[in-house]
Amino acid sequence: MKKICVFCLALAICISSFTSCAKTSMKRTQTKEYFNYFDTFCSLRIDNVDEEAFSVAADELYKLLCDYDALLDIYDSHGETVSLYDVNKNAGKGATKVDKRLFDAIAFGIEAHELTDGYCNIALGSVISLWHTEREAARRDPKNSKLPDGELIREALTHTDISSIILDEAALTVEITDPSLSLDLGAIAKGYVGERACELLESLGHESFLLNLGGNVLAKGKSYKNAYWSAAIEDPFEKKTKVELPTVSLNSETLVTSGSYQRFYTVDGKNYSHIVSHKDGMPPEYFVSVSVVAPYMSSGLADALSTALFCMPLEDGQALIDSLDEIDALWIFEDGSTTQSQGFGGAK
Amino acid sequence: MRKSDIILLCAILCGALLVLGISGSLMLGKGNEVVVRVGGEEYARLPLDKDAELLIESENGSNLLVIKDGRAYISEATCPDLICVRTGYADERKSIVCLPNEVTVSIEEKQ
Repeated sequence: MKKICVFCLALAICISSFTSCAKTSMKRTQTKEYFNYFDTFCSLRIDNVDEEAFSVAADELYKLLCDYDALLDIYDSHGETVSLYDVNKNAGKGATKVDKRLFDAIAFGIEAHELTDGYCNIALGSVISLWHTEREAARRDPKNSKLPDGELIREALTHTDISSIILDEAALTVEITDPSLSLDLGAIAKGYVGERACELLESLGHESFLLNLGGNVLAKGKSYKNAYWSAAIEDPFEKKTKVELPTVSLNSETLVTSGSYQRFYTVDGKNYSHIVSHKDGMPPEYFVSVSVVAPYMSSGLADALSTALFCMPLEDGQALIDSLDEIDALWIFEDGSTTQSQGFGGAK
Repeated sequence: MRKSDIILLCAILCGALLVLGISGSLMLGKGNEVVVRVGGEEYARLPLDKDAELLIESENGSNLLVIKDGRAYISEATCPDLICVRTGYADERKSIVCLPNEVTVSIEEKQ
C-alpha cells in the first residue's frame, strides 16, 4: 500500500510538471501594434503575463487611443463627442462644454505653456495650420511646393495668445475669446496620452510594460531579460554614419524626441519642418532633433519640452533643463555633433 | 518507507525535474528572429542568421525586406517618404516602421 502511495505521489509530481510546461498561457513577450491613432504608429509590449491579461490590456489601450484620438482631433467632428475641432469652431462664440478628458488635456496644455516659457503653445493652431496646408499640398504636387504667405503668418501670429483660453472647471467648459485663435495639442498629445495609458495599465495591475506612441517611449519595470527597457535615439541622418548615439536605458522613464528629419517638406531644395516657432511662425533651424528623458509620468511635460527645446537656442535650452529635476536632454546638430545634459543616458 | 521506496521516489522526482529543465530551455530558445507585422498582425517570421529577401505586400503598397549578414533592413518601398528605408537596420531596441503601408519589422528572440 505504502509503495503504491509513494509511486502515485511521484507520478502526480511528474504529470503536473509536464502539464505546467505544456499548458501555461503565460508568454515571455507579447506585442500589440496600433495604426491610425495620432497619425502615427503605437505599440504596447508586456512580458511575462498570460495571453488573457495581455489581451485585456491591449483592448483597453485600443479604446483609450481611439477616444483620445477623437477628442483631440482638430480636423473632424466625432458625432456626439465634442472634439477639439468643435471647440475651435466655437471660437469667439462663447463657452463649449467638453468631456473631462479633453478639459484636462487642454488644462495641461496651458500648464505646459507656462513651464516652457511659452515655447510650447497649444494656441499656435492658426499658424500651424498654414504650414499643414502647404505641406499637404506639396505631398500631392511636390513640384509646386511653396511656403505659406508671409503676411498670413504674421496675421496668424497675432492670434496665439494663450490667455484667450478660459477654462471653467466646475462647468467643464472651454471658451476661446479670440474668434481667429485655434487650439492644436499636437506638441503634447502623445506624451499626455502616454501618461493616461500608463495609468490605465497600472489600474489593470501591470507593473512592467513598454509603450511607444509615435516615437514617444514610456517604460516601466523590466523586460523578460530582467533588464530595464532600452530605447534607441533615432539617427536622423540618411547615411546613418554621421553620429554616435547612446542607447538609453529607461528606469520608469520616458524618452521623447522632436525632430525635423521625418515630417517636413521641400521648397526650392530646402526642407521645412512641421515644428513651428511661436516667435516668427517659421520652422526653427537650431537642431536636427532634441530628445528628452524624464520620469514616465511626466511624459506630457517631456513632450512639451522636446518641442520647446527644438525651438530655442542651445544655451536657453540648457538653462531650462538645468532648472528642472530628473529631466535631461540631448541635442543633435546639423553637422552631426551632439551635446547632452549631465544626467542623460537613463538608468543607473 | 523502505530504502527502495526512497530510491524510486528520488528517481521519479529527478525524471520530473529533467523534463522541466529540458522543456524550460527549449522555451528559452536561442537566436533572433525578424518579425514582420502588417496592420498589427504577424505576416512573417524569419531567422536573422539566414540571408533572405521578402517582398512584403500590403493594401497600400509593398516593402522589400532584406536579411543579410545578420542584419535586417528595408531596401525599397512604394511609400512616398521612404522613412522605412532611411531608418537603416532594425535591432532589439528599435523597429522599422512604414506608416503608410502599416508595416513593422522587429527583431525578437525566438519564442
